[in-house]
Amino acid sequence: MKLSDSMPIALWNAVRRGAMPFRRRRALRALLVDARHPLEPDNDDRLMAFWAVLARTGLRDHQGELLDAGRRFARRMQRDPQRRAAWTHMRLRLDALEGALDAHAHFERISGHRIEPGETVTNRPAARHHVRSRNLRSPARRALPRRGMLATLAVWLVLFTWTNTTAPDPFAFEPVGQSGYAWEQVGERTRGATPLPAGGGTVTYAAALEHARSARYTWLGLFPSYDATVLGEARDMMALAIEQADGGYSVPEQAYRTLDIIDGLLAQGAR
Amino acid sequence: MSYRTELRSLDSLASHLPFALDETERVNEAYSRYVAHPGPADARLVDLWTYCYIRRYFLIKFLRETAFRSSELEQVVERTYRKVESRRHQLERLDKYAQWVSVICRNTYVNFVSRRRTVTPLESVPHPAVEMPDVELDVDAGAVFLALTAAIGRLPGFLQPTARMRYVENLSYEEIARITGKRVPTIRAYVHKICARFRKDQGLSAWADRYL
Repeated sequence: MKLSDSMPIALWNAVRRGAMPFRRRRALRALLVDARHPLEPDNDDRLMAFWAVLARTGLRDHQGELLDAGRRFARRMQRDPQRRAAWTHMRLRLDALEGALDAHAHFERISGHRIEPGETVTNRPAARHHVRSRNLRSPARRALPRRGMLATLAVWLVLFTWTNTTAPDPFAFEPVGQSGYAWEQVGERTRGATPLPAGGGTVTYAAALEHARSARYTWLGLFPSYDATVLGEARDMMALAIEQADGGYSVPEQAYRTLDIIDGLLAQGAR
Repeated sequence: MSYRTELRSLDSLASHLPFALDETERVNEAYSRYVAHPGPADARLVDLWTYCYIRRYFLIKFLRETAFRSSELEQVVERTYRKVESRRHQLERLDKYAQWVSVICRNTYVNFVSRRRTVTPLESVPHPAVEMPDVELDVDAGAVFLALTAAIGRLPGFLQPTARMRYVENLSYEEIARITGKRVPTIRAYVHKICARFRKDQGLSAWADRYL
Protein backbone atom coordinates (compact mmCIF):
# COMPACT_ATOMS: atom_id res chain seq x y z
CA MET A 1 0.00 0.00 0.00
CA LYS A 2 1.38 3.34 -1.01
CA LEU A 3 1.82 5.82 1.77
CA SER A 4 0.49 9.28 1.15
CA ASP A 5 0.88 12.54 3.00
CA SER A 6 -2.72 12.47 4.17
CA MET A 7 -2.42 9.05 5.83
CA PRO A 8 -0.91 10.17 9.12
CA ILE A 9 -3.67 12.78 9.44
CA ALA A 10 -6.36 10.21 8.66
CA LEU A 11 -4.80 7.81 11.12
CA TRP A 12 -4.62 10.51 13.75
CA ASN A 13 -8.27 11.42 13.18
CA ALA A 14 -9.28 7.77 13.49
CA VAL A 15 -7.38 7.47 16.76
CA ARG A 16 -9.01 10.64 18.00
CA ARG A 17 -12.45 9.37 17.09
CA GLY A 18 -11.74 6.09 18.86
CA ALA A 19 -10.55 7.91 21.95
CA MET A 20 -13.55 10.26 21.99
CA PRO A 21 -15.60 8.37 24.62
CA PHE A 22 -12.60 8.41 26.96
CA ARG A 23 -12.00 12.08 26.29
CA ARG A 24 -15.65 12.84 26.94
CA ARG A 25 -15.50 11.01 30.25
CA ARG A 26 -12.38 12.92 31.19
CA ALA A 27 -14.02 16.19 30.16
CA LEU A 28 -17.09 15.44 32.27
CA ARG A 29 -14.89 14.55 35.24
CA ALA A 30 -13.06 17.87 34.89
CA LEU A 31 -16.36 19.73 34.61
CA LEU A 32 -17.76 18.08 37.75
CA VAL A 33 -14.67 19.17 39.67
CA ASP A 34 -14.93 22.72 38.30
CA ALA A 35 -18.67 22.95 38.87
CA ARG A 36 -18.21 23.29 42.62
CA HIS A 37 -15.74 26.11 42.09
CA PRO A 38 -17.97 28.73 43.80
CA LEU A 39 -18.12 26.60 46.96
CA GLU A 40 -14.37 26.24 47.44
CA PRO A 41 -12.96 28.75 49.94
CA ASP A 42 -9.63 28.70 48.07
CA ASN A 43 -11.32 30.40 45.11
CA ASP A 44 -12.76 33.32 47.06
CA ASP A 45 -10.18 35.83 45.87
CA ARG A 46 -10.51 34.72 42.28
CA LEU A 47 -14.30 34.87 42.40
CA MET A 48 -14.69 38.11 44.32
CA ALA A 49 -15.42 40.10 41.14
CA PHE A 50 -17.90 37.44 40.07
CA TRP A 51 -19.75 37.64 43.37
CA ALA A 52 -19.67 41.46 43.34
CA VAL A 53 -21.34 41.60 39.90
CA LEU A 54 -23.74 38.80 40.77
CA ALA A 55 -24.79 40.56 43.96
CA ARG A 56 -25.49 43.64 41.85
CA THR A 57 -27.39 41.94 39.05
CA GLY A 58 -29.36 40.00 41.62
CA LEU A 59 -29.95 36.32 42.23
CA ARG A 60 -33.37 35.04 41.38
CA ASP A 61 -35.40 32.38 43.11
CA HIS A 62 -34.44 29.67 40.64
CA GLN A 63 -30.79 30.25 41.47
CA GLY A 64 -31.36 29.03 45.02
CA GLU A 65 -28.32 26.75 45.01
CA LEU A 66 -26.08 29.57 43.82
CA LEU A 67 -27.65 31.85 46.40
CA ASP A 68 -26.56 29.40 49.09
CA ALA A 69 -23.01 29.40 47.70
CA GLY A 70 -23.08 33.21 47.76
CA ARG A 71 -24.15 33.19 51.42
CA ARG A 72 -21.27 30.89 52.26
CA PHE A 73 -18.88 33.28 50.48
CA ALA A 74 -20.35 36.26 52.39
CA ARG A 75 -19.87 34.46 55.74
CA ARG A 76 -16.25 33.64 54.92
CA MET A 77 -15.63 37.22 53.82
CA GLN A 78 -17.12 38.66 56.99
CA ARG A 79 -14.57 36.71 59.02
CA ASP A 80 -11.62 38.13 57.07
CA PRO A 81 -11.03 41.92 57.43
CA GLN A 82 -8.58 41.97 54.51
CA ARG A 83 -11.11 40.42 52.19
CA ARG A 84 -13.80 42.76 53.51
CA ALA A 85 -11.68 45.76 52.53
CA ALA A 86 -11.03 44.27 49.09
CA TRP A 87 -14.78 43.70 48.70
CA THR A 88 -15.57 47.33 49.54
CA HIS A 89 -12.95 48.50 47.06
CA MET A 90 -14.39 46.23 44.39
CA ARG A 91 -17.92 47.51 44.94
CA LEU A 92 -16.71 51.09 44.55
CA ARG A 93 -14.92 50.23 41.31
CA LEU A 94 -18.04 48.48 40.07
CA ASP A 95 -20.06 51.63 40.78
CA ALA A 96 -17.54 53.68 38.82
CA LEU A 97 -17.57 51.30 35.85
CA GLU A 98 -21.35 51.06 35.80
CA GLY A 99 -21.79 54.81 36.23
CA ALA A 100 -19.57 55.52 33.22
CA LEU A 101 -21.78 53.66 30.76
CA ASP A 102 -25.57 53.75 30.63
CA ALA A 103 -26.52 50.13 29.98
CA HIS A 104 -30.01 50.86 28.59
CA ALA A 105 -28.87 53.55 26.19
CA HIS A 106 -25.88 51.51 25.08
CA PHE A 107 -27.97 48.41 24.43
CA GLU A 108 -30.62 50.36 22.53
CA ARG A 109 -28.00 52.10 20.45
CA ILE A 110 -26.07 49.03 19.33
CA SER A 111 -29.00 46.61 19.00
CA GLY A 112 -31.70 48.92 17.63
CA HIS A 113 -34.25 47.49 20.11
CA ARG A 114 -36.22 49.56 22.55
CA ILE A 115 -36.97 48.49 26.11
CA GLU A 116 -39.74 50.21 28.01
CA PRO A 117 -39.32 50.73 31.77
CA GLY A 118 -40.82 47.89 33.78
CA GLU A 119 -41.31 45.70 30.71
CA THR A 120 -40.31 42.03 30.79
CA VAL A 121 -38.90 40.85 27.50
CA THR A 122 -40.42 37.47 26.82
CA ASN A 123 -40.35 35.16 23.91
CA ARG A 124 -43.46 33.75 22.25
CA PRO A 125 -45.14 30.80 23.91
CA ALA A 126 -43.25 27.57 23.38
CA ALA A 127 -46.40 25.76 22.23
CA ARG A 128 -46.45 27.74 19.01
CA HIS A 129 -43.05 26.48 18.00
CA HIS A 130 -41.87 23.14 16.76
CA VAL A 131 -38.16 23.21 17.29
CA ARG A 132 -36.47 19.98 16.34
CA SER A 133 -33.97 19.50 19.09
CA ARG A 134 -34.11 16.67 21.55
CA ASN A 135 -32.59 18.65 24.35
CA LEU A 136 -35.20 21.38 24.18
CA ARG A 137 -37.62 20.85 26.99
CA SER A 138 -40.06 23.53 27.96
CA PRO A 139 -39.98 24.54 31.64
CA ALA A 140 -43.65 23.58 31.92
CA ARG A 141 -42.87 20.05 30.82
CA ARG A 142 -39.90 19.84 33.15
CA ALA A 143 -42.19 20.79 36.02
CA LEU A 144 -44.69 18.08 35.21
CA PRO A 145 -46.56 17.34 38.45
CA ARG A 146 -45.34 13.81 39.07
CA ARG A 147 -47.11 13.66 42.41
CA GLY A 148 -50.41 14.51 40.74
CA MET A 149 -49.90 11.68 38.25
CA LEU A 150 -49.13 9.24 41.04
CA ALA A 151 -52.21 10.37 43.00
CA THR A 152 -54.40 9.88 39.91
CA LEU A 153 -52.95 6.42 39.39
CA ALA A 154 -53.60 5.53 43.03
CA VAL A 155 -57.23 6.71 42.81
CA TRP A 156 -57.73 4.70 39.62
CA LEU A 157 -56.21 1.61 41.27
CA VAL A 158 -58.56 1.91 44.26
CA LEU A 159 -61.62 2.39 42.01
CA PHE A 160 -60.55 -0.49 39.77
CA THR A 161 -60.16 -2.81 42.76
CA TRP A 162 -63.49 -1.65 44.15
CA THR A 163 -65.24 -2.18 40.80
CA ASN A 164 -63.83 -5.66 40.34
CA THR A 165 -64.69 -6.60 43.89
CA THR A 166 -68.26 -5.33 43.93
CA ALA A 167 -69.14 -5.97 40.27
CA PRO A 168 -66.76 -8.55 38.77
CA ASP A 169 -67.07 -9.74 35.21
CA PRO A 170 -69.84 -12.37 35.50
CA PHE A 171 -68.59 -14.25 32.43
CA ALA A 172 -65.04 -14.57 33.72
CA PHE A 173 -65.60 -17.94 35.36
CA GLU A 174 -63.12 -20.74 35.04
CA PRO A 175 -63.91 -22.71 31.89
CA VAL A 176 -64.61 -26.37 32.47
CA GLY A 177 -62.76 -28.83 30.32
CA GLN A 178 -64.61 -31.16 28.00
CA SER A 179 -62.65 -34.13 26.76
CA GLY A 180 -59.56 -32.48 28.12
CA TYR A 181 -60.13 -29.16 26.33
CA ALA A 182 -61.36 -25.88 27.61
CA TRP A 183 -65.04 -25.37 27.04
CA GLU A 184 -64.45 -22.23 25.04
CA GLN A 185 -62.13 -24.06 22.69
CA VAL A 186 -64.57 -26.77 21.77
CA GLY A 187 -64.95 -27.02 18.03
CA GLU A 188 -61.68 -25.30 17.22
CA ARG A 189 -58.85 -27.00 15.41
CA THR A 190 -55.81 -28.00 17.36
CA ARG A 191 -52.17 -27.80 16.30
CA GLY A 192 -52.26 -31.39 15.10
CA ALA A 193 -55.20 -30.59 12.80
CA THR A 194 -57.33 -33.08 14.67
CA PRO A 195 -60.83 -31.67 14.87
CA LEU A 196 -62.22 -31.53 18.36
CA PRO A 197 -65.66 -32.95 18.93
CA ALA A 198 -67.86 -30.45 17.22
CA GLY A 199 -71.07 -32.01 18.18
CA GLY A 200 -74.36 -30.12 18.24
CA GLY A 201 -74.03 -26.64 19.53
CA THR A 202 -70.45 -26.74 20.81
CA VAL A 203 -69.26 -24.04 18.45
CA THR A 204 -72.29 -21.97 19.30
CA TYR A 205 -71.54 -22.21 23.03
CA ALA A 206 -68.24 -20.47 22.47
CA ALA A 207 -69.77 -17.93 20.09
CA ALA A 208 -72.64 -17.22 22.48
CA LEU A 209 -70.29 -16.78 25.42
CA GLU A 210 -68.03 -14.50 23.38
CA HIS A 211 -71.07 -12.47 22.32
CA ALA A 212 -72.27 -12.21 25.91
CA ARG A 213 -68.82 -10.98 27.01
CA SER A 214 -68.86 -8.32 24.30
CA ALA A 215 -72.01 -6.85 25.86
CA ARG A 216 -69.98 -5.64 28.84
CA TYR A 217 -68.17 -2.39 28.43
CA THR A 218 -66.27 -0.21 30.91
CA TRP A 219 -64.52 3.14 31.06
CA LEU A 220 -60.83 2.52 31.88
CA GLY A 221 -61.87 -0.70 33.59
CA LEU A 222 -64.35 1.21 35.78
CA PHE A 223 -68.13 1.57 35.91
CA PRO A 224 -69.18 -1.60 34.02
CA SER A 225 -72.44 -1.60 32.09
CA TYR A 226 -74.16 -4.01 29.67
CA ASP A 227 -75.81 -3.67 26.31
CA ALA A 228 -79.26 -5.26 26.61
CA THR A 229 -79.56 -5.89 22.85
CA VAL A 230 -76.28 -7.79 22.71
CA LEU A 231 -77.21 -9.70 25.85
CA GLY A 232 -80.53 -10.70 24.27
CA GLU A 233 -78.76 -11.93 21.16
CA ALA A 234 -76.27 -13.89 23.27
CA ARG A 235 -79.14 -15.47 25.21
CA ASP A 236 -80.84 -16.59 21.99
CA MET A 237 -77.57 -18.03 20.69
CA MET A 238 -76.95 -19.95 23.89
CA ALA A 239 -80.53 -21.27 23.99
CA LEU A 240 -80.15 -22.46 20.41
CA ALA A 241 -76.84 -24.15 21.22
CA ILE A 242 -78.42 -26.06 24.13
CA GLU A 243 -81.37 -27.04 21.98
CA GLN A 244 -79.17 -28.34 19.15
CA ALA A 245 -76.75 -30.18 21.45
CA ASP A 246 -75.75 -33.60 20.23
CA GLY A 247 -76.92 -36.33 22.51
CA GLY A 248 -73.40 -37.82 22.56
CA TYR A 249 -72.06 -34.88 24.52
CA SER A 250 -73.46 -33.48 27.69
CA VAL A 251 -74.37 -29.84 27.71
CA PRO A 252 -71.74 -27.99 29.79
CA GLU A 253 -73.14 -26.60 33.01
CA GLN A 254 -71.63 -23.22 32.10
CA ALA A 255 -74.18 -22.95 29.31
CA TYR A 256 -77.01 -22.92 31.85
CA ARG A 257 -75.01 -20.64 34.17
CA THR A 258 -74.48 -18.20 31.31
CA LEU A 259 -78.18 -18.19 30.59
CA ASP A 260 -78.91 -17.45 34.28
CA ILE A 261 -76.36 -14.65 34.32
CA ILE A 262 -77.76 -13.08 31.16
CA ASP A 263 -81.29 -13.32 32.54
CA GLY A 264 -80.13 -11.74 35.79
CA LEU A 265 -78.46 -8.86 33.97
CA LEU A 266 -81.49 -8.27 31.78
CA ALA A 267 -83.69 -8.32 34.86
CA GLN A 268 -81.42 -5.68 36.49
CA GLY A 269 -82.22 -3.44 33.59
CA ALA A 270 -79.18 -3.57 31.38
CA ARG A 271 -79.55 -0.80 28.84
CA MET B 1 -23.80 56.31 43.17
CA SER B 2 -26.56 58.41 41.74
CA TYR B 3 -30.19 57.35 41.57
CA ARG B 4 -30.03 57.57 37.79
CA THR B 5 -27.12 55.13 37.68
CA GLU B 6 -29.05 52.69 39.86
CA LEU B 7 -31.86 52.70 37.34
CA ARG B 8 -29.79 52.46 34.19
CA SER B 9 -27.10 49.96 35.12
CA LEU B 10 -26.74 46.32 34.12
CA ASP B 11 -28.96 45.03 36.92
CA SER B 12 -31.92 47.09 35.74
CA LEU B 13 -31.37 45.99 32.15
CA ALA B 14 -31.00 42.32 33.11
CA SER B 15 -34.20 42.55 35.16
CA HIS B 16 -36.13 42.74 31.86
CA LEU B 17 -35.07 39.16 31.07
CA PRO B 18 -37.47 36.35 31.99
CA PHE B 19 -34.56 34.23 33.25
CA ALA B 20 -31.21 34.69 34.96
CA LEU B 21 -28.08 35.35 32.93
CA ASP B 22 -26.58 32.03 34.04
CA GLU B 23 -29.56 29.89 33.01
CA THR B 24 -27.84 28.77 29.85
CA GLU B 25 -30.32 26.01 29.03
CA ARG B 26 -33.17 28.50 28.82
CA VAL B 27 -31.00 30.87 26.80
CA ASN B 28 -30.23 28.09 24.33
CA GLU B 29 -33.92 27.22 24.11
CA ALA B 30 -34.76 30.85 23.38
CA TYR B 31 -32.09 31.04 20.70
CA SER B 32 -33.24 27.79 19.06
CA ARG B 33 -36.80 29.15 18.91
CA TYR B 34 -35.54 32.40 17.47
CA VAL B 35 -33.67 30.58 14.69
CA ALA B 36 -36.58 28.24 13.96
CA HIS B 37 -39.13 31.06 13.79
CA PRO B 38 -37.41 34.45 13.64
CA GLY B 39 -39.57 37.20 15.08
CA PRO B 40 -39.01 40.58 16.69
CA ALA B 41 -39.89 39.38 20.21
CA ASP B 42 -37.43 36.49 20.11
CA ALA B 43 -34.77 38.63 18.46
CA ARG B 44 -35.07 41.20 21.23
CA LEU B 45 -34.86 38.54 23.93
CA VAL B 46 -31.77 36.93 22.42
CA ASP B 47 -30.09 40.28 21.82
CA LEU B 48 -30.85 41.47 25.33
CA TRP B 49 -29.38 38.35 26.92
CA THR B 50 -26.36 38.56 24.62
CA TYR B 51 -25.70 42.17 25.54
CA CYS B 52 -26.18 41.58 29.27
CA TYR B 53 -23.91 38.52 29.25
CA ILE B 54 -21.16 40.30 27.30
CA ARG B 55 -21.37 43.33 29.50
CA ARG B 56 -21.25 41.26 32.68
CA TYR B 57 -18.31 39.28 31.31
CA PHE B 58 -16.26 42.39 30.75
CA LEU B 59 -17.40 44.01 33.99
CA ILE B 60 -15.95 41.05 35.86
CA LYS B 61 -12.73 41.22 33.84
CA PHE B 62 -12.43 44.97 34.34
CA LEU B 63 -13.07 44.59 38.05
CA ARG B 64 -10.24 42.10 38.36
CA GLU B 65 -7.81 44.16 36.30
CA THR B 66 -7.60 47.68 37.67
CA ALA B 67 -5.36 48.90 34.83
CA PHE B 68 -8.31 48.90 32.41
CA ARG B 69 -10.12 52.20 31.97
CA SER B 70 -13.89 52.49 32.13
CA SER B 71 -13.89 54.21 28.72
CA GLU B 72 -12.51 51.01 27.21
CA LEU B 73 -15.44 49.00 28.54
CA GLU B 74 -17.92 50.49 26.08
CA GLN B 75 -15.65 49.79 23.10
CA VAL B 76 -14.88 46.20 23.97
CA VAL B 77 -18.52 45.37 24.82
CA GLU B 78 -19.69 46.85 21.53
CA ARG B 79 -16.95 45.08 19.54
CA THR B 80 -17.86 41.73 21.08
CA TYR B 81 -21.59 42.30 20.55
CA ARG B 82 -21.03 43.09 16.87
CA LYS B 83 -18.86 40.00 16.50
CA VAL B 84 -21.56 37.78 17.99
CA GLU B 85 -24.28 39.42 15.94
CA SER B 86 -22.43 38.97 12.66
CA ARG B 87 -21.27 35.38 13.19
CA ARG B 88 -24.03 33.62 15.05
CA HIS B 89 -25.79 32.55 11.86
CA GLN B 90 -22.78 30.25 11.26
CA LEU B 91 -23.43 28.43 14.52
CA GLU B 92 -24.38 24.80 13.85
CA ARG B 93 -25.29 23.66 17.36
CA LEU B 94 -28.15 25.94 18.37
CA ASP B 95 -28.29 24.31 21.79
CA LYS B 96 -24.84 25.71 22.58
CA TYR B 97 -25.43 29.38 21.85
CA ALA B 98 -24.67 30.56 25.39
CA GLN B 99 -21.42 28.57 25.49
CA TRP B 100 -20.46 29.91 22.07
CA VAL B 101 -21.01 33.52 23.18
CA SER B 102 -18.76 32.78 26.15
CA VAL B 103 -16.02 31.59 23.77
CA ILE B 104 -16.38 34.74 21.65
CA CYS B 105 -16.05 36.86 24.79
CA ARG B 106 -12.96 34.94 25.81
CA ASN B 107 -11.26 35.33 22.42
CA THR B 108 -12.12 39.02 22.23
CA TYR B 109 -10.77 39.54 25.72
CA VAL B 110 -7.51 37.77 24.85
CA ASN B 111 -7.16 40.01 21.80
CA PHE B 112 -8.04 43.06 23.85
CA VAL B 113 -5.39 42.28 26.45
CA SER B 114 -2.67 41.30 24.01
CA ARG B 115 -3.17 44.28 21.68
CA ARG B 116 -3.65 46.86 24.36
CA ARG B 117 -0.81 49.32 24.65
CA THR B 118 0.53 49.34 28.17
CA VAL B 119 3.63 50.67 29.83
CA THR B 120 5.13 47.59 31.39
CA PRO B 121 8.20 47.63 33.63
CA LEU B 122 10.88 45.22 32.47
CA GLU B 123 10.81 43.21 35.66
CA SER B 124 7.08 42.54 35.51
CA VAL B 125 5.75 39.14 34.55
CA PRO B 126 3.74 38.61 31.33
CA HIS B 127 0.02 39.25 31.62
CA PRO B 128 -1.60 36.06 32.85
CA ALA B 129 -4.85 36.74 31.03
CA VAL B 130 -3.32 35.77 27.69
CA GLU B 131 -3.00 32.17 28.84
CA MET B 132 -6.54 31.49 29.79
CA PRO B 133 -8.27 28.19 30.50
CA ASP B 134 -11.03 27.01 28.17
CA VAL B 135 -13.79 27.52 30.71
CA GLU B 136 -13.27 30.76 32.57
CA LEU B 137 -14.57 29.97 35.98
CA ASP B 138 -14.12 33.55 37.19
CA VAL B 139 -17.03 34.44 34.85
CA ASP B 140 -18.91 31.21 34.15
CA ALA B 141 -18.68 29.61 37.59
CA GLY B 142 -22.36 30.36 38.21
CA ALA B 143 -23.52 28.95 34.88
CA VAL B 144 -21.52 25.74 35.30
CA PHE B 145 -22.70 25.35 38.88
CA LEU B 146 -26.33 25.87 37.83
CA ALA B 147 -25.88 23.33 35.01
CA LEU B 148 -24.74 20.81 37.63
CA THR B 149 -27.62 21.52 40.02
CA ALA B 150 -30.11 21.36 37.15
CA ALA B 151 -28.66 17.99 36.10
CA ILE B 152 -28.99 16.76 39.68
CA GLY B 153 -32.59 17.95 39.70
CA ARG B 154 -33.29 15.81 36.64
CA LEU B 155 -31.99 12.63 38.31
CA PRO B 156 -34.43 10.13 39.86
CA GLY B 157 -35.30 11.05 43.43
CA PHE B 158 -33.31 8.27 45.05
CA LEU B 159 -30.08 9.41 43.36
CA GLN B 160 -30.39 13.12 44.06
CA PRO B 161 -29.15 13.21 47.70
CA THR B 162 -26.09 11.11 46.80
CA ALA B 163 -25.34 13.29 43.77
CA ARG B 164 -25.65 16.45 45.85
CA MET B 165 -23.39 15.14 48.59
CA ARG B 166 -20.82 13.81 46.13
CA TYR B 167 -20.64 16.59 43.55
CA VAL B 168 -21.81 19.68 45.41
CA GLU B 169 -20.60 19.03 48.95
CA ASN B 170 -17.61 16.93 47.80
CA LEU B 171 -18.13 14.23 50.46
CA SER B 172 -16.37 10.87 50.32
CA TYR B 173 -18.18 7.57 49.75
CA GLU B 174 -17.74 6.70 53.41
CA GLU B 175 -19.23 10.00 54.60
CA ILE B 176 -22.20 9.66 52.25
CA ALA B 177 -22.74 6.08 53.42
CA ARG B 178 -22.70 7.23 57.07
CA ILE B 179 -25.18 10.05 56.42
CA THR B 180 -27.59 8.05 54.29
CA GLY B 181 -27.28 4.81 56.29
CA LYS B 182 -26.42 2.81 53.19
CA ARG B 183 -23.45 0.58 52.49
CA VAL B 184 -20.40 1.96 50.69
CA PRO B 185 -20.81 -0.42 47.71
CA THR B 186 -24.37 0.84 47.34
CA ILE B 187 -23.12 4.41 47.24
CA ARG B 188 -20.52 3.43 44.65
CA ALA B 189 -23.27 1.87 42.52
CA TYR B 190 -25.36 5.03 42.90
CA VAL B 191 -22.44 7.23 41.82
CA HIS B 192 -21.91 4.99 38.81
CA LYS B 193 -25.57 5.45 37.84
CA ILE B 194 -25.30 9.20 38.41
CA CYS B 195 -22.25 9.47 36.13
CA ALA B 196 -24.00 7.45 33.43
CA ARG B 197 -26.94 9.87 33.53
CA PHE B 198 -24.67 12.91 33.66
CA ARG B 199 -22.96 11.75 30.47
CA LYS B 200 -26.33 11.92 28.70
CA ASP B 201 -27.33 15.26 30.21
CA GLN B 202 -27.46 17.93 27.50
CA GLY B 203 -26.97 20.84 29.91
CA LEU B 204 -23.75 19.38 31.29
CA SER B 205 -22.41 18.12 27.97
CA ALA B 206 -22.79 21.62 26.49
CA TRP B 207 -20.19 22.76 29.03
CA ALA B 208 -18.15 19.53 29.06
CA ASP B 209 -17.48 19.91 25.33
CA ARG B 210 -15.39 22.95 26.18
CA TYR B 211 -12.90 20.65 27.88
CA LEU B 212 -12.39 18.43 24.83
